[in-house]
Amino acid sequence: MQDHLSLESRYMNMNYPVYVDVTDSRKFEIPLREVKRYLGYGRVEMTPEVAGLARELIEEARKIMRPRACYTRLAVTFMDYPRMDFGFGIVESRNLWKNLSDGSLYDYTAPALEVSSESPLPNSSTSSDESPDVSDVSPNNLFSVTETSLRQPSSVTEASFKQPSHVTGIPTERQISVSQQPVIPLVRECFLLAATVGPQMDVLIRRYARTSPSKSVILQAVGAAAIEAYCDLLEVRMSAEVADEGLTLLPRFSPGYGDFSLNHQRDFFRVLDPPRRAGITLTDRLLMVPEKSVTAVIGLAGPDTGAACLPDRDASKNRCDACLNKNCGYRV
Amino acid sequence: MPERTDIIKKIHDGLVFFDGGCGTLLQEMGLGPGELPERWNITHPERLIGIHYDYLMAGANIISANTFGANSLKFSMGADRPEDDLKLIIEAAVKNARTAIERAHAAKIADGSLSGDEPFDAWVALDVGPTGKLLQPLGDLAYDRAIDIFAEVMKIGAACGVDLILIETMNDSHEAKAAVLAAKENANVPVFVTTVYDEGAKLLTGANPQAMVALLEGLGVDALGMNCSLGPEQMKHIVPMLTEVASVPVIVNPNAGLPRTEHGKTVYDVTPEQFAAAMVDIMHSGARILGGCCGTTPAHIQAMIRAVRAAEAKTPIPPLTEKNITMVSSYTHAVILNRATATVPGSKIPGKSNMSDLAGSEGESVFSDTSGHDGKSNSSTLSGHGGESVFSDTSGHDGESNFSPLSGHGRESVSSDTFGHDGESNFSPLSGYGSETSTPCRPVLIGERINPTGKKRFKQALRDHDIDYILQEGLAEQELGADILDVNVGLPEIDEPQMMEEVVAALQGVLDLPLQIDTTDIQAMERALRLYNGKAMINSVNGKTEVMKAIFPLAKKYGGLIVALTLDEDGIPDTAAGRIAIAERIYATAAEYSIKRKDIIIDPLCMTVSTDDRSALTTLEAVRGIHEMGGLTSLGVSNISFGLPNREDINSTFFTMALENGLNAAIMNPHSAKMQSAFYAFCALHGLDAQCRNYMEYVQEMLPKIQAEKSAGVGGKTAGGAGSAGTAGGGGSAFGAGVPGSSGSAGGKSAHGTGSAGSEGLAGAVSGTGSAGAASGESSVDLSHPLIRAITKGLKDQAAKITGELLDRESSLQIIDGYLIPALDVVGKGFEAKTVFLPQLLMSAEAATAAFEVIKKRLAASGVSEAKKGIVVLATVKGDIHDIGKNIVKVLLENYGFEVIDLGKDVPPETVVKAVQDSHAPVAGLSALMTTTVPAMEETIKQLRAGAPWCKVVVGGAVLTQEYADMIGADKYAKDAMETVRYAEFVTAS
Repeated sequence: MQDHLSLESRYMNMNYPVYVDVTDSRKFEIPLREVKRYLGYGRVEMTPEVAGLARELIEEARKIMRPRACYTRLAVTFMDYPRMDFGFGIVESRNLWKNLSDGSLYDYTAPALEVSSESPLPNSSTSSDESPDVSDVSPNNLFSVTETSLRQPSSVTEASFKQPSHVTGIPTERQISVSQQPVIPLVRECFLLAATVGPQMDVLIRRYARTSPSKSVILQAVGAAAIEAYCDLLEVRMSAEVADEGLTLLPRFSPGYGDFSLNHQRDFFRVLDPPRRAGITLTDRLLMVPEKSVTAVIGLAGPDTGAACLPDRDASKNRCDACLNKNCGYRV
Repeated sequence: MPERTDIIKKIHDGLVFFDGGCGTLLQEMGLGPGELPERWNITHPERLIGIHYDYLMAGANIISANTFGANSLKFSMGADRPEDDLKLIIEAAVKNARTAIERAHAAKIADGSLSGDEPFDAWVALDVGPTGKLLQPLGDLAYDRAIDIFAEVMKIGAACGVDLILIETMNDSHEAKAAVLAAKENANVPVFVTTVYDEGAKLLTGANPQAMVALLEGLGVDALGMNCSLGPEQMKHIVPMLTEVASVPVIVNPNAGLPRTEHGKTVYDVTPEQFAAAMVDIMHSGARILGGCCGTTPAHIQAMIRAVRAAEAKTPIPPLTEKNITMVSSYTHAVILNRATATVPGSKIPGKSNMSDLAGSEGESVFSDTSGHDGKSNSSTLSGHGGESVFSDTSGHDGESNFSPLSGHGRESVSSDTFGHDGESNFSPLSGYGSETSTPCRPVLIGERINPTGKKRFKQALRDHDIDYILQEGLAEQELGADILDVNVGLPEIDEPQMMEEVVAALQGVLDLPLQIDTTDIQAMERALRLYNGKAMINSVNGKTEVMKAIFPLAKKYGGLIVALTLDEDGIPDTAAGRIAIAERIYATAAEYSIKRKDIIIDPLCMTVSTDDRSALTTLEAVRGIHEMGGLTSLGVSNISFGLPNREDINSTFFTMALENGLNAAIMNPHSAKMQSAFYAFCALHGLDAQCRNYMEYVQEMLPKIQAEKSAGVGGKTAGGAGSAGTAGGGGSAFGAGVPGSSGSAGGKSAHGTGSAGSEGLAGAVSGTGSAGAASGESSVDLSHPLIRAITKGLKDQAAKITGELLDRESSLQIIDGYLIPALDVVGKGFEAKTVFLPQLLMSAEAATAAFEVIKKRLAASGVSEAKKGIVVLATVKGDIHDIGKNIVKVLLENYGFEVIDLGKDVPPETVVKAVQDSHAPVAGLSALMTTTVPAMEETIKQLRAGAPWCKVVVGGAVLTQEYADMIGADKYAKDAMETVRYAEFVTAS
């Protein structure tokens, strides 16, 4: 008997643990307010007919959804800005770097943009040993922002992704540039998450697309709200898992946001094996199927990682307030 | 190679054991995260041999070669490095397995556990896992391409001399079918298939165990079962669902429990002893091929074999039996046609597990016989209680279930109390009767509406390639409770095989009812059966030799329940005995192809009673005769009344008489209130409907809908009935205030005659009227006009109803220009002004579409075809599978009078160019959602400029902007659907 195999061995260990979650869709709400937002209503109210239809479709969606997810925990090493080593490979992304340093979201920049060396941050220190005074800092104050008009990307394929692909978007016309690079020490670990509400949603959306486009459109918005709600639920669980290490989750950030290249979807899929664990597949063009699926990096911030701004997870607060993308079509 | 018994014999005679997990063991040995395990066949062969050897010494009979992910998506042929080459990897995998077998054989002889002349039952299986991609229409992998990918692997495996093929870890029924076909077409070895069920006993894409058994046994697999995802404890309740209906041996390969974290590492929490104990229970449930999956080790397998052999010694396992269950299936569920004599989908008893009924199973069939309907249960010995059908909690129309058409949830099987939904009653219109699980313990309704015979509108839809119309007919039938849908698209002037394939693909993409493929074109039949995601009903075969010769091989290869008509070269016999004789001949010929009687259903044909007084009696006698023989029967009842008035009464009465004589299935019109009432009444009167609950729900919910439809002139004529009723019936209140729109709002531009509905041609005057009407109609649109109001408020049914009424006094053109277009314009302007939002825009568009349907139907009936403003070709470009936006544009364009050629999504540039060339369309609309697909759009435009220079290109989609549109050379960037419509009008007006 070869020694590498012990017939008494009872446990199988994996190099990197991947946790799988299978959830009953009744465990989370799909907020009507979020459905309305994804329908592009902004602050305008829905008519009673539309609201009624939305409620019906929320109920229908909850009956057919089969949410599943898988996630793992990886160490992140920050190299020369803006390159990070995740173990599965190197990611080069200013926006992801920023997210992992201060939790900012949706700060879309055109990749051709230079970072200008202007005056240092109000609260930054030149020594990386000192942690900044966290209480004074919020994402809106951290960098000076200037609004610039959209630059023509040098090649169409490099243009930044304006909205997450599971939300049908209205293109923004102006973008925000980062004029300062962060000097705050960064997270050491992150979660890699892949989650979905299941293929039944796709089938229902497609069915309605042929018979009732209005329902189809509303159901799309329901699906977007649902996958986000599921991810929020997962984050609650993941937070509980790391709470005793003094860590907190930063806002999730997905491939395709800003300059976090969609090509990294392939890395996610190699590492997590979502087809087997969660039933999420990748098309040749790097779209996920089922459509209402999310992959994301979730930074783990602790008191010593200096992550400045931790998201306010109060569900009653308006999340759009914390977001830098002021020209978003879904902003409320 | 040591001698061994035949594996097929072995799995039928007794227990056979699979090996356990391999990938997890390799990871322990140093396989890196994301590293492809198959490479180690070449770089670390001794490791693989070692693992295989250990499993053999632990007692495993079947070794899965390390080829799970070996396909051309991950590896290539003729690669530079051997460890990247598909063929070399598979060859090495099989070689490693054989080497291990030789070593194990030697070791066993050496230690005395085996003597030299005894067979050593060790086999090598080619292990084929899923591609990791979802098939179209969900994902982007074409079904045929999937078959090709698998075929390549099967060929190599066959050349290596594998003993069997294991297709495993499949989570999609369609992909499983592709793999099985590839195996059958390229290798001549036994095929085993295991799929992944979740705790709710469903595959990812929705199939339940019965559906999988129906599909896989139809394809002729030699063993089937489940693997992965769950530990043995979680699999326990699912195994009986398989063993009750499967006639082939059942395989169970669980994980070593569920993974959990311990000190930051993942551990599988089930020890070998726990695993073994659970597997003993699973063996008692009837599984005969046992092994392990992720997390299991040789220790688990060894413990399992010891425990199972010990249990077997005490209680020998019962022999495998043939289950006399006649089923068809869709991708989610099966429909069982041999009516149980047991009860009824009864009241759902909370907390009752189906499977508690299995104590003391003697392996008898669930539905022991089909004779008589004495209402007494003599069904399953599998039930502990007298008279309960095993599926009583989940089957049929027990009034407490939630009829979701998408199998996912709704009337859950056993685990409903712990997972999934507890089935609050919701007889939602979007349901099929018994669509959740399989068993109607009652006759089965086959919807007949997808058939061009006698339907002008349908014929027109076929000519127009209007798949959506066909889908809507199918969906409507589902809502009205059809269990199975007949699909017939036979029209001389179209390409029937192509259309049949498209329609089947489209139907199974949006609804989950089993289909009956109805065609005399062998090519159409074959293409449909090949693509069909389930086990279909085959309509039909008959007593003619050449027909049997053509159909039986197809049925054998693809599976199916074959409808057999009792006619032959000499025609239709006059007597019941004559027809039964033909039936016998058909059974006998089928047996030559190894097709079992349970997969044949006899249609003894009904000829009209108007020309032969005895025709009904003859048919009924034949039905009774076949029924008493233990056979199944089906009828298309409408024929009985051909030539007579008041056909529905004859049809429904005959239907009841036939049911009384044992009819299992009827092809009928679900829109017929009389037929439906006859059916529900029969079930209630026969004790097939506990507390008459289904009947009452039918009367309260479905019947009013059917009657409302009829008065709105929807749902078509029932066979031979009077034309659509209720024109003037509507009380006339809507017109009290006069009809302001009819002359006024068109702005007086068009000089319409006083032509009555449909008599005028629509050619000519149409162009420009729409937009002119809009311009002049702005101030004069009367929002209180009933039709305009119905459109602006998005009230679809009202819009249809009012249009039907208006058509009696106004022309279609007057209605379109006077009400529909102005109403849409009001909504469109609101949308542009952001006072009206997309959902409302669409609701209005749907209401307009409903109104247009009524007009179209009227025109088709009178033989006039509408002229269109122009043709627009629409496509979502290659690489992109989002099409909601494009579909919205399509609806609006059609509303505004354009003919739309919708090429769908992921469309290559060449296809767009050809469509534009063939139709000489003046406008093409391209849509793309993702930045990565904009280059494809650019390419499409380039090709259009070259191949169709007259065509104007408008582009849209979330990713596009004016800048991009300019960069790629589009003529117009439309930021929303209305802009596209305006542009199309602008282009065609000039």
